[in-house]
Parts: sequence; structure tokens; C-alpha cells
Amino acid sequence: MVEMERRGVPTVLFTAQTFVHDAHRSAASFGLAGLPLAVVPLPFTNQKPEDVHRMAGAGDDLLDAWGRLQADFLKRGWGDGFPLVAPTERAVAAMLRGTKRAPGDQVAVLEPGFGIATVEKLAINAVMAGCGPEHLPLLIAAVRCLAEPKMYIRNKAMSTGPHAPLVLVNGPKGRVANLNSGMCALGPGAPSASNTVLGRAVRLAMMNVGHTYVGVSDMDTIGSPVKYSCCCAENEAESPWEPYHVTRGFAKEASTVTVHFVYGICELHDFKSTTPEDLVRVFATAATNVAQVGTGLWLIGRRVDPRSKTEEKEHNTLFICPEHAQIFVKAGWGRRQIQEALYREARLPFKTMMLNKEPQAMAASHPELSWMHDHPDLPIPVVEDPACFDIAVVASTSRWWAPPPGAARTSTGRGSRSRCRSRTDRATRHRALALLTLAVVLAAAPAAAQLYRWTHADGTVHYTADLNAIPPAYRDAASLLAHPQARPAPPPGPPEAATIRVDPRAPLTVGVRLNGVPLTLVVDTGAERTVISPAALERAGFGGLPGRPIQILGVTGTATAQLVTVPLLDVAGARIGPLAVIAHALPVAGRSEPVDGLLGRDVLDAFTLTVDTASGRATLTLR
Amino acid sequence: MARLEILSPVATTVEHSVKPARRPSDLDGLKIGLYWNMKAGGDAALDRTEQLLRGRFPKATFRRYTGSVGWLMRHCTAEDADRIASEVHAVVGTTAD
Repeated sequence: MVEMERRGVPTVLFTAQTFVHDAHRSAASFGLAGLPLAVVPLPFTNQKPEDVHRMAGAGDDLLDAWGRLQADFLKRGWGDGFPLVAPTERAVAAMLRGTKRAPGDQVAVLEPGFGIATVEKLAINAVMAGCGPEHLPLLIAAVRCLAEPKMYIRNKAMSTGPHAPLVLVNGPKGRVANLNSGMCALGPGAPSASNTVLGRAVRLAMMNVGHTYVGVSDMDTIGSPVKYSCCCAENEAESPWEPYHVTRGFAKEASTVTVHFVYGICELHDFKSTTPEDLVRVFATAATNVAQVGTGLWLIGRRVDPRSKTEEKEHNTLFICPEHAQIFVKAGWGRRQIQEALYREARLPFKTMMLNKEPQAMAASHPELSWMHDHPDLPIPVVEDPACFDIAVVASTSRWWAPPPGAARTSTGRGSRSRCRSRTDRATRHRALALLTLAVVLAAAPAAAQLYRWTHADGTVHYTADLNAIPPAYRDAASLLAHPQARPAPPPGPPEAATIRVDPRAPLTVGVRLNGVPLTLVVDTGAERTVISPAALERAGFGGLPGRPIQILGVTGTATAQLVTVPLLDVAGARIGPLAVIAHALPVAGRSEPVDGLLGRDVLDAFTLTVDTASGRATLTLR
Repeated sequence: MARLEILSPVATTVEHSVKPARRPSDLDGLKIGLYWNMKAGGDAALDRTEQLLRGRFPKATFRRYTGSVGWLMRHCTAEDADRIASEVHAVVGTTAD
């Protein structure tokens, strides 16, 4: 061949794969390095003619076959748009050497398509992404995170929003996989190649195993470059704090993968600030973009998977660079101080927070906060609590990189086990929120100790603690509501029981107090919710409370009533509230004495009701 | 032609199916549930739906529902579904998508 080339004749030489190196070396020795070769799998010797024909007739370069694979995979929706590595049997077998698990082992069932995520299927997608065997255990852990019930992956995968899995790796397996935690940790380039392929494998697994296909089940209306791949390791070496996975309850020496679904990336910078307070002040502004879906989302509830009822809060994930971390740590600040400072700083007026939120959703989730509509300028925190700022140390430049509020769930898992968080107790959550908002109101009007009610000409009833906030035209007509005096804390002891007289001719009734005013309510275990007559509410100083119209269904039929919120109801020595009650007058017929309403299961479930007909007594005791 | 033999990246799925409910031949006299997940605009669609159905089926009655859990979207729990199923004969739903 070299001699032909010397004579000006172009050539190409069939060469079996095993002879390629020899052919290149020989051609170079004879003076023509780079002699074109047509590589075939096997030597032609001892081959049947038809097999030789097949090998020789392959003709097109394997790159053409690879090109057809790209086009075919894209057409089927199996690729992400970037060139894919061909998942040949040999490549997949090599990938499977990265785990001791059997190829047929089932890692998870991945929604929304209920795809069975076997180790082999994950390995195939890992090959396509360009991963090496060292990535496979991390991909398996990431997929287990995705499949956790608390992740509610169906919501993220099928959303009209651009949810992207952010993968954060801690521990030694990340170092083995050469994951970048420093400069340009989120790519692009060679230093982050390992990060890129692992993040990409997660996306391909979501697509081909979870069947999250664009336009079919992934209804993202705009898309996001973050969805291709978003992965890094935490810079544990340069972090002054314990690693992120330790804050999640894992041992320092463990290797973990955390998956946090984010909407996007917001890069923050501050070259000037030298105090933690100044840094917090700057970076809190990044969390106050109400156009970002997570901002203030807690006002209208939490993401809930209706099947498992696992709830999640909206979080911000913050990647702090080592230099800024040093500013905090030198001032004695840990993660907790940063979280609390951000929580205090990152606030927006209520009216701004509600610009893009459904008021009915807020009324359904937080009826006890309906009074906020009368305080539109009240500063409201953008997240539900300080722990909703997740903090890790990443990168190496003086930047503080912070994805905006994303989907709420962070799931951190190891190869063998993931933690599950129990469902938040709703009553506790409401009390915590009540305390939070109460503190905010007091801070806004520290000198106010009284509450005024005034009615606008359009019929809207307003409440305010500041007389000067009432328009002059209505100020004289504003009425001062009586406030219950602060009660001394009850002495510790066994719960007080209310004794109820049992009259076989009449329903059980119990005395309660609303705003210090005594009321008589029928004990009605058949009523879902407590009912108080409008007249009784008026006596207690809550006449004209703003409420939500509802339909109620009783033995006499349906009726329209109002659902209103009262702050506290004193029952059997306990204070229950805030409490959403139905404002509705009860029919008088059949009652020997007037009653002010019904005590329903929303309150009764907190008590033990004991009826002793022999002695003619019943007791209501707090559980 | 050169060939590449590759393994399929697509997972098989867990099979499950739900038998569709029997359809009523007429809605007159039936209770119709109108389910909204609270995504903006869905309520307006149900308002119009109720208006049109009332016109065609004067004896039909309507009840509004939304899920008992959720945030931007309210989701229907199993208990919600049980309750709705016990109260109406058919449901028109909207996610506003």
C-alpha cells in the first residue's frame, strides 16, 4: 500500500482489529504514518464467505453507525440532545464492574412512568452519559433519592416548571470519582467532566427509566440548561464547618448523594463585604424575587404527595465559597446563624408576596392568617423557617452561588439506606406559624396594645392595632375591642377536667369561654367542626369577622354559613386555637335552654369524653 | 453497512390498570362534582361548565371540590376521593393545564 501511495494512487487497507496497531507501526516504518485502514472485527482467514462478505460489506465507517444511533435515539426521545456514548454490551459490562450488585437487581421503581430501575438499566444510561464505573454507585444512590416517597418525583418530573435535579456528593466516593468541588465546580470543562457526566446520567435515568419525556410527561413549558446536568461535590477540605451530609445525620466518613430539585441558578457576588451581617444583607436580596415560584410559597401551603401525605417545605440551597465561609466563621457564625440571619433579612410585604398566589389557596392552607389581608405592608419571611436555607461550601472563588428557591425536597441517601422524615404535625405547624406571625405583628406595632375595628363604606370590616392607620373619615366610628387580660400561666398539674351534667332529656352541653365570654355549646361528636352562632360571636367581640362562605350539610339539609377564625377557645382548662369555626345559628326547636353552638370533633379530638349515666355526669379531660 | 449493537436504555414498567367507571346515560337528576386543583383559571372553567350543564340538565345538582392538601395545587387524597365518590355520580375536573 505504501508503494502505491508513493506512486500517487490512493489506497485503503482492510485490517482486522487485532492488527491495527501493527498496521500503523508498519506504515510509519515504511514512511507513511496514518495509512488509511478499513477496520474489520476479525481476520478473514478461516471465515465463511458470507461472513467475510458481511464484514467487508460493512463498508460505512462505524462512525456512520454511531451517527445513526444519535439520530435514532433523538427521534425516540431517549437522548438529551448532546452526543451519546453508544451503550454496547461491552461498554455496559465494563460499567457494571463499578458495583457489586447484580445487573438484575431492582434499585427502585421510578415515576412518573413506573419504570423498573434495574442496575443494568442505570448502567446503560450511565454509559450513554459518558460515565465511568466509579460513577455507577453514585448514580444508584441518586436514583434511590429520586424514588423516595418524600421526593414526590412525579410532581417535579411532570411539572410545567423547569425542575432540575441538583446532585451534591459528599464523602470519599466523590473523590474516587474525581468529582470537582472547587473552581468551576458546576462546569463546564475538563475539571468538572466527572460532575457533568454524573448529572447527565441522572437526567437520562429520569427520561429512560422514569419515562420523563419532554412533551409527553415532562410538560416543562420553557426548559432549563440546568436540567441537562447539575452536579458537584462539596468542598469539604476548605469548609470551616462540618460537611453537609453530617448535618443530615450521616457519619463524616460516609459517602452520600443529596438530590435537591431546583428551578434555576442565581449567581451572587460580593467582593466588598467583610462582615457576616453585610454579606447576609446582600445575599438575602436574591431570595426576595416573588416571580420565583418558591418565594413565599408557604403562605399557600406545602407540596404534598396526596398518597403518602409527606409534606415538603420550599428551600433555598446556598453554595458558599470558602472565602465567604471564613468571614462567617471568624465572627463565630455557623450554619444556624446564617440561616437565622437570612430568615430575618429575606422578607417581602404581604401584598407583594400575594401578587401571584391564589387567595383561596391561602385561605384553605392558613385560615388563621386571613387577618394579614388587612396588613398588606406587613413584612413576611420568604421561607417557612430558617432551616429552609440549605448551606454547603462549594467553589473556590469569592462568589456565593445560590440557586433560587426550588422544589422543597432534599433527599440525601447512601448506597445502602436513605433517611425518611416523618410528616409534620399540622397542629404544631399552625402554632409555630401563629407564634411567628404574632411576633411579626408585635414588632410592626410595638406600642399598640389594643385592637380597633372599623367598617369601610363598601362593607369591608378592618382590624388594626394602630388608630392612625384608620382613614380620618372612619376613625371616630372605629370601635375598640375588649381584649382579654393576659392570664397567668396555669400551675403545673394534672389536666383540668370539665364536668358536664347529663340530662337524659337534653343533649350534653359544656361551658366554654371565647375571648373571656362564657358560651354554652352542645357536645356533638357527629359534627366535624365547631359551630358558634353569630349572636354568640358578637357577644364575644367577634361580630363581623371576615370569613369564607361555605356550604354545611346537616340532618335538616344544607345551608350557607361562614367559616371564620377565632384566636382561642377556652375548653376544660385548655386553650385551643387559632380555630376555624362555622358561624351559623342553630335551630331553637327542641331545646329547653338556649345554646350558643356545637363543639365539634375538631376540638373534641383533643379530649377524652367520659359519660357516666348512672351518676348523671360526664367529664371532658384533655389528653 | 457498519452496525453497532447496543442495549436499550428504556426501562420496562410496572403494569397496572384501572377499569373505567360505568358512564351514566343521562345527567338529569344526578349530582355532579366539579373538581378544581386551585391552579389559576380552573374555577372559571368550572363556572362555565356548571352553567352549560345546568342548561342541558336542569335537574342535575352540583358540588364544588378541591383537594385537601397542597400548595399551588391542591391534591386529592384517598380520603378526599372516597368522600367525593360517595357524594356525587360523576365528576368534571380541571387542573388548568
